[in-house]
Amino acid sequence: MKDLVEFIVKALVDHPEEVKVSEVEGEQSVIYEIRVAQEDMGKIIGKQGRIARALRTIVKAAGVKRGKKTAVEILE
Amino acid sequence: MPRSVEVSGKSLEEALERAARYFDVLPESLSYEVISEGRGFLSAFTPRVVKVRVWIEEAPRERIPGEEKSPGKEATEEAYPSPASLLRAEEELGKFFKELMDKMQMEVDFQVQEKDGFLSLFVEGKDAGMLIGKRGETLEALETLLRIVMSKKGFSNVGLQLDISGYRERREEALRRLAEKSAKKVIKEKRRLKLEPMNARERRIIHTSLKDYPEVTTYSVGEGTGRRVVVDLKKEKSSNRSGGNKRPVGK
Repeated sequence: MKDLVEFIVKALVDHPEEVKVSEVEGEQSVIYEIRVAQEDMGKIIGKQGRIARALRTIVKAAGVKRGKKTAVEILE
Repeated sequence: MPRSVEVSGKSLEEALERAARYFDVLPESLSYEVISEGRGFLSAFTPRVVKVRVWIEEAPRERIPGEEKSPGKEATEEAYPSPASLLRAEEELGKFFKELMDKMQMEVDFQVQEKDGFLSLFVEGKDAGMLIGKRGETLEALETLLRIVMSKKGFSNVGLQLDISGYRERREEALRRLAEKSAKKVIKEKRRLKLEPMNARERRIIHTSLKDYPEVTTYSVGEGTGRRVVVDLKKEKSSNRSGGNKRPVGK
């Protein structure tokens, strides 16, 4: 599922080469930590967090399919 | 394609406020052009009327203050997409969506249809329900993502809508029924009714289905994802009108 997160984030930013996603997997849950170029932060957060919320919702749905709870964190 | 409406008022502000209420958004998020600023023949006696065309700027441009324009973006975009660019948009959308579905491991079929410069993406199949999500939240999220990605690829002038297993139509039908039922209840019990939180599109369906209902009026309260429609009895004409239709509701 890490490739899904990467795919979406890279489609949103101006500097896809600077996108880094790490995955911390537990038994029932998995956490994704996203890092992007500083000037791309707004691109993945959006006004009032609208884009970040959409990203979390989509990743959550993919998690449901695999029986995993997901968390997406955007790191500075 | 932006939905637009013509409104008039005694001043530009009044017209815009009216439109904002119609679209159920803040006046700041509206775009407008002044159609006429007539002052009638007998200017001293007839009120000034400003007529404007108003629409909502679809917001694929997620700009945060201080952020500069993205470099790769095509500098000049036509207002209406050319047939060639529509064809490319159709391809790009299909390609992106296919890869997205593969990576989500969703088993669905989809097709992209183009009509009047507008792309509709129809999705069906085994995992369709999962893609709709609770009250359509995943469907909305996917549409948001597709809009932003398409706009980033240079197709911000191409309208886009996503539908999964006819959800949109079913939901709209259900909301119209809810509106009707709520109006009847408000009239019968003579007290206002606060509906569940809904997104702007859904609230608009409630507002428009009750706008010609003689005894009730509708408005929205709350902020962000908690914003909800209130169905209320229409006040008698003689009552104080200065409060507009946004009377405070027990804060």
